[in-house]
Amino acid sequence: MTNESCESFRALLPEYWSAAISVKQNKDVEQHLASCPDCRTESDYLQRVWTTLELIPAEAPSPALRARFYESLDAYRRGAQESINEFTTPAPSPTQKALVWWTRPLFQFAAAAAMLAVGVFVGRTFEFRKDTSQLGELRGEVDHMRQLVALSLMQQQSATDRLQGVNWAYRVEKSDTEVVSALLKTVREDASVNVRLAAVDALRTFAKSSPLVRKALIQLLAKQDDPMVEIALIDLLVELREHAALGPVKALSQDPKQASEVRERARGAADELQ
Amino acid sequence: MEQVRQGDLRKLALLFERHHRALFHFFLRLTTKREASEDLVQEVFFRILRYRHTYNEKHGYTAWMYQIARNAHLDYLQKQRAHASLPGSQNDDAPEYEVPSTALPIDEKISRNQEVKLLRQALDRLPEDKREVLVMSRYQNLKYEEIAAILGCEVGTVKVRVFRAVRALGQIFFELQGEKAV
Repeated sequence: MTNESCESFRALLPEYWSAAISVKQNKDVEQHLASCPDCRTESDYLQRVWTTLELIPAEAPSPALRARFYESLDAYRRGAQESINEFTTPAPSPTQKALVWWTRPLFQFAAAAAMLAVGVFVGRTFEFRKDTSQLGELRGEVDHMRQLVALSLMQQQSATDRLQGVNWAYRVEKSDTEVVSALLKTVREDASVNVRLAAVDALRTFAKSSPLVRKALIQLLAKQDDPMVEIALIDLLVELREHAALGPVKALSQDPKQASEVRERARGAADELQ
Repeated sequence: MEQVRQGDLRKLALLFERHHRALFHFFLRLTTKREASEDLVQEVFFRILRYRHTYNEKHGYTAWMYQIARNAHLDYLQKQRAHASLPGSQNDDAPEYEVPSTALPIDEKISRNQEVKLLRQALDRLPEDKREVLVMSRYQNLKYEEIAAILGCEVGTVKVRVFRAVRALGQIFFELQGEKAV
């Protein structure tokens, strides 16, 4: 049998299960549960449900989310400037527009990749006797091409191109040390915070299978000066459950020179890593 | 947020870094769709940018952000409903459940993993309003005061709603366990 008093106690149960209740209320709830079998039965069952909820894993968003956000933010920033420019400069002719595309490194690389793909297609179409070793070689060439595209784009002047380069890094082999080194260098030195953040995201897949990359990420944390990159690195190390990062993370949480947001995140991360 | 309101857009990036994961988890638990959840996160920050002048510090940034998130989710649901004629209405007020005493003890034969899987299904079947308040209180680290500010109700009402949501979840979970056992 339940009554009004039972209902008022039951409303306190989620806080009681989470131990987020005052000492007095905790005592009241316990006394009530001891004297009311119905409430006790229901509380025991629902507490199990409540606790199990915590075990449903949280999935991470894809790296594309971050890239899209920064692209939108940049577009928003540029929007005001461009709306002014529209009134002061004539619109480019179709020929000029086409030339601009031809000079874009990404377009050039895409054209090279397309030509390689056409070459592979033609080769496979006209090669009647399929030779698996040749196919293997071709795959190797495509991998090499991807590596070249990633590495070359990461060295471009334009931040947008470097961002594209980081995105190409997802397509290379997980064991590609040259690309990993380039990504680590990008996180350490790139002038654009957006590119650095994208590189942190791209390193996630490499770090999962390589203790060396995780070690490098910890070292990078100490060398960062941008709060957003610091927070992204801390998030990644927590996600990877890299306990070796505990010391440096704790140091950040106590460093008065750090931004308050970084100290706050580092404090939370230190608890999670312990 | 105050700096964003005054036009410092770089600070918006900081807000994004701090909150985008939590928002993504919030939407993923409500929609169960990854792509839609990422779109919704993007939409929230776009609305923050667009409506930043409406921010006031009364309830704090988090409550304001979740109000925006909630509205974005409601708009998403409306669009979904417009696109597909949903069979029945899962969102009507569900009857309050009494947990049968035969539900206890939980069948020990069911492993913890299966339990988690079933509970996830149960959460997906929970009516929208109950799932929302449960997700906010269980996963988003929001205080009852913040949830009250987001939902525009009293703290006492939030407590009752959270409990009723757990109770409804427990009932669905129990039913699913029964189906599984048959």
